[in-house]
Amino acid sequence: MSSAATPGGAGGPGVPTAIDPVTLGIVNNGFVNVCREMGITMIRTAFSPIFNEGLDFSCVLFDRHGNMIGQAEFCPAQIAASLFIVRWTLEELGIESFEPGDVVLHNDPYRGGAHIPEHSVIRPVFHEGELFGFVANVGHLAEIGGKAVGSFAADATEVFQEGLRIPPVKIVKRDVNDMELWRLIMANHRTPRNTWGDLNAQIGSLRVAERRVIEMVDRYGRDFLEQAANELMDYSERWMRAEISAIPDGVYEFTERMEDDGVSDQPVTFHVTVNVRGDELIVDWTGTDPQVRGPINATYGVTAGATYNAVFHVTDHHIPKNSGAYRPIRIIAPPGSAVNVQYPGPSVGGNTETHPKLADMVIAALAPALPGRVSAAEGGTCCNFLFGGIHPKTGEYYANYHLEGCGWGAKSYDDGNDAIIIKNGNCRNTPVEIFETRYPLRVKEYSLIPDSGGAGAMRGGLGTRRIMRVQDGVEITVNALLDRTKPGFGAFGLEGGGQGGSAAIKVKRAGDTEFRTFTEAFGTVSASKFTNVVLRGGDEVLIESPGGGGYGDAYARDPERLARDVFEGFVSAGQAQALYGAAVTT
Amino acid sequence: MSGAAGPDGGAGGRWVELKPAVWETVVRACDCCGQVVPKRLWVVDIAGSERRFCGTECESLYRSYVLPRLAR
Amino acid sequence: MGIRVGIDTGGTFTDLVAVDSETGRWYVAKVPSNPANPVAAIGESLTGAGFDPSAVDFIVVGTTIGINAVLTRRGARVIYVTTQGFEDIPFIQRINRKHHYDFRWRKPTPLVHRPDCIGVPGRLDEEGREIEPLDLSGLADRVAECLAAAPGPGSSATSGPAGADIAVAVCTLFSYLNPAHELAIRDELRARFPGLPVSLSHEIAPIWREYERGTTAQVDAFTKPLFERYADGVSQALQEKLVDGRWGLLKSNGGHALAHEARERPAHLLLSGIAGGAIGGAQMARAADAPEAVALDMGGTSCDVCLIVGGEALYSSDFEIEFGFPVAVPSVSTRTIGAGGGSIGWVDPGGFLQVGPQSAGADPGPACYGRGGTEPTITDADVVLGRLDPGFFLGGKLPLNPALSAAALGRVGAQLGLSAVEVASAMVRVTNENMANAIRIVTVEQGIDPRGFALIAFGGAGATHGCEIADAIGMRRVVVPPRPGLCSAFGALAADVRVDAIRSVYLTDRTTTAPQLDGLFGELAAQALADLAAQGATGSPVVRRSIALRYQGQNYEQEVAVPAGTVDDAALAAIYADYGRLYEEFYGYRLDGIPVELVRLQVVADEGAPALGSLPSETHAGEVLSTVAEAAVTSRDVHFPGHGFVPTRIVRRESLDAGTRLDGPAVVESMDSTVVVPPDWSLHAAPSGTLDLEKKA
Repeated sequence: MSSAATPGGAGGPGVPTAIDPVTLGIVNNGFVNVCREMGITMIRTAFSPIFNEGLDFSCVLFDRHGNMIGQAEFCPAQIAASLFIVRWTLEELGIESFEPGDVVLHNDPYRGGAHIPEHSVIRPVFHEGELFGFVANVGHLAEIGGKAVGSFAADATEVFQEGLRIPPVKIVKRDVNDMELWRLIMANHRTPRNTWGDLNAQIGSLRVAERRVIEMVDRYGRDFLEQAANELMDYSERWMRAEISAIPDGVYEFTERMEDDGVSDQPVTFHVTVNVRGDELIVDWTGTDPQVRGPINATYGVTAGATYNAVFHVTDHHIPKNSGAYRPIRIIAPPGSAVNVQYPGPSVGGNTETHPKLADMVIAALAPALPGRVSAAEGGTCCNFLFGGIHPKTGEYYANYHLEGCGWGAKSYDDGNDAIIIKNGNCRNTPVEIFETRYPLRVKEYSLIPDSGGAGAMRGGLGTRRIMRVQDGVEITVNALLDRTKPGFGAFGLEGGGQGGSAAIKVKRAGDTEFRTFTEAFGTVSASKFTNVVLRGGDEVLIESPGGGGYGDAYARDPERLARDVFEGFVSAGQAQALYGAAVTT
Repeated sequence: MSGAAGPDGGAGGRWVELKPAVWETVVRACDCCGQVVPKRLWVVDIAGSERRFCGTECESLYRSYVLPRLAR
Repeated sequence: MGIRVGIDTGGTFTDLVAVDSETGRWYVAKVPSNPANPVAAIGESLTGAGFDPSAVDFIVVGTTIGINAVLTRRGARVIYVTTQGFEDIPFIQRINRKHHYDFRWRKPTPLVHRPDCIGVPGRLDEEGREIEPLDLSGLADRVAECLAAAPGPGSSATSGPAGADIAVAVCTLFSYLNPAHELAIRDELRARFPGLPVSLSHEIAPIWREYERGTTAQVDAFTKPLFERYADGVSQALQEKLVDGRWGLLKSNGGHALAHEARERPAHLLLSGIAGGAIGGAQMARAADAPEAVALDMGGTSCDVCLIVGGEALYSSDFEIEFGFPVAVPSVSTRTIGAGGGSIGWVDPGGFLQVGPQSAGADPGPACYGRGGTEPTITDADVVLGRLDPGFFLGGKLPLNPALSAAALGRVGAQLGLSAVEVASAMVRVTNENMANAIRIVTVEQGIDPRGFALIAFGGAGATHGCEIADAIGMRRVVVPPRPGLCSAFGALAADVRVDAIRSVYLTDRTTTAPQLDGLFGELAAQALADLAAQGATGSPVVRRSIALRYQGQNYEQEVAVPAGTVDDAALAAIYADYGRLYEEFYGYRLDGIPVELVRLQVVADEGAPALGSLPSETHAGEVLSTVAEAAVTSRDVHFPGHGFVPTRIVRRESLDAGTRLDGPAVVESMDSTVVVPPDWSLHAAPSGTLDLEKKA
């Protein structure tokens, strides 16, 4: 024992560590860097924009017992999924079944996944013939078959309509591709060449990570590294427990609704009870509606991920994200409810629409306990818009997954940011110049929506408006999965702050004079969730993303902030008067 | 599903290993937390009915948190 | 030919290095910077250098005024003219977050205000064809409205003798394919508002992605009035010093350009102040026969790391002012981390020791300065470990108080159960690991194994930590240049005139013909050579061409060199073959049969000036550097990890004759740096004046 450190600060329990804290910090950086390098390799080699622009993937490192010891943060939606998928796959297949050079693939939403487009690959790392651990990554494939192009079937009622489901199988055995399996997969996806590129990017990055892990074992020695990993998990656990201890004990609840499930037009109710007991949290989702027919159900991986996401937002975000950080958080997600969908229920929208709402619920539930750390709700929809068809220039099938940013919720100390991707992911938008180069649509407008931020002493962020026109002579098939389009379902405010503005997806057929909902124009059951609508040249689509909720009494807004809002046009003079009680001259 | 008692069953319950047939493509969920139980179930008799958990920790959580909540 | 001068105006010091091309005599000076009047220190450094100003032939200046203006948002009011419907792009940006779990983060503040963003009807398509004619009928009225309106609440626009600074940035969709609309807008503005500066996005950054290109144009407009005044001020200062030579500004790409040309596109001057270090580091790497190297410029508050391959600094076009705020011009590819001599050690809530990014700066400075600093810095750690001589810091000009260092370290140690020395050693290790991680990012993450590379260590603190940083990443050679504190000014002196011409294209291997590519390269090369001449190049230029390729669907490219000569069918086939080979080397697999996209052509034209030698360690110094103490060999106890305190030879650098070899542990001291040679390293004083350190086998 070179030195015994007693962790200080934040009231954490003083547990001495056998390895000095400096070395531990260095080893931790090494583990994280393995995962970051894996991710950067994927960004550079992947084919789908959802990977290489959207960064919708996660990279993780596990010890040989299935504990997560390193994680690179690319996509928060997968913070739980990546934890569970690897652990459960190892348990199901048996650790002893892995040989050097094997890669296991799976995308089963009932085995820890967040939704079916997400594919995980797992590779063992052997050092001098002995198993050290596993490297893995989870990534969103843009097209995996099913009833709707882009595999976002917003009116699916069973998993079979959502795409090809793959249980844990070895797609690579001792570094040799199982081409029989590859061919089976290729035959079931609409854009198999992209699948080939993306899965190769995922698998290739595992090899890069494996090399780096082996270098670390060479440098530090196996026993030392395992001991360091264990101490790091204890360290994260201690820090997380210290953070939770700082939250006043109590039972905190919150209820939120989604406007419909895509199959019926009835709202869905979610309920959470957050029990703070000393240095532990029990987050109980009992009271949520039974699972619904449409695909807004959350898998266990989504619900757990949203819960962790929320807790990480209200605790110190520097805590190393390994298995230890998750230990003090217990989650109860009743099977068969909308927060834990069971076979064969659909779940593709749970990851994008339900996750942010669940996370905002946990955060809002804690508002009485942590007023300085929470936020009003964000827009909370990815505004998923998927389209595809035969590209007029190449004659080949293409599919695109399009999304939008929304307003952030306001906080006690600041306004929400405008136009930011929801907190389950960290995607960038696609530049207009790239979008028009790749797809046969023309963007006519991409702008902020004034007055869409929830009013308050602190204002919610603004949503955006986009208008796209299908090029002449082109036919496309479109699918959409949005939420918050109905009045009263906007992002909630806190402490008297107002709701954020609504979302919208509408269509103006060629020759028509105004935008109408898809229900009006095409008779879809839900106005915000539908599949397989065919649009033709000259048709225009309007997508508006919701604003964020406000915080505090709008009449108490700092006049300087309001004057700036009006000058910049974020708030109209009319709204300044109506909601903020201020007559502003412009 | 068929099952067999595991070797390290505790005093209050027993481990049951899942051996699903090839056509059984679904894994089951823990009666307490709802997590996937990929391989081994912790089976306990509580108040006359059989409960299947992902592990002993969920048995404790069930006794310390869920049962009191149900009683309310 | 006369004296050539390189000047680096940093935040703390303004450094000068000069060489007389006839006599081979070198001159140096180091004077305090004056942030309020950046021009003043230039005159003082010329006086301090001690040469005859009238003998000056050419001066190159590197400056941080551009980046400082953008960082502090103090610059011109910018009117932004763009395609109608897209006026809000500067506010929407790219919609991603900097951190995942941090509610406190704010999006970058744009350089424009929303009422100053003007949409113009007119549209090009993705091939540059006009699909809606440009309608300029409302433009002049809207600009006039902006000019008449108050700048708005919270505006921090600068002003000059002629009134408030105001400039226009223009960015229309697809202008990188067809500039007609941007040019027509410029002509209209010139006709209606003579004298109003106009920056066109396609001229400054002809790349796709409208947010990135538009932001770059805004940066250009935002800093243009400042650079005009700065350039006028420098010209005047030079005249006052009787310097009648031409002068130039160092650009972000590490080349220089005549001041009157460079000021026209100030976005390209943003990293002027950082480029000198990279160029100086590359020059030193070549002089030390270490063409594969990493330059590490470690100062008081930050550390710049730059990869050098084939003796050249690497370049990129993805620099960001802050997260989400890109400036897409060719720049030396540096990675800056907030760690330097002034970085503070602290204990995080989980009980881990952390160092930085907070810095004690120059005021109060490290605890040992005795100016009221109570938190331990890396400088304090180096003092307590015996690496720095408290009586010989900056050549003895700043006496240090070791007791204050020990007390500050002891306070942090109490939280960790460690002694002051243990904390000091730990802080140094953490910092060295942070540096090693920065090196890993520019090497390992780019697929480059740094272990065969040399580390060029300079800046005030680089030489003190160089060997241990190298150890942390497995590098076995460290090169410490002569005068490590003046390396950036030396870089400004060593810079050539250089033009990077870039063009975005959208071609695939299925349809592209060799003559088509040859024609595009021809146009680009002609443009680059014309710019090169305008920017002051003499001699016979060197032109290098490259093309960026990717498999269709990917978003990241691999650069492939295009050899000189006509691009014919064989050359084109070789390009594709090289691409496949490089891809496989990089990623371990191939994707044969998938279409390859050609996305970016690049031509780099360099004036090809004769190479400068290495700055000798003995130079004719101006008054500032003239007080070097007597050489002496002494001994003191210095702490090394795994060894504890060991008796260590202390040597003055001036006393090291060329060819001298020295085994560690040793410390080599000079006025502007301290070189630490750990026990398992050895040192060789090379004839070129550099110190070459090697890990013992």
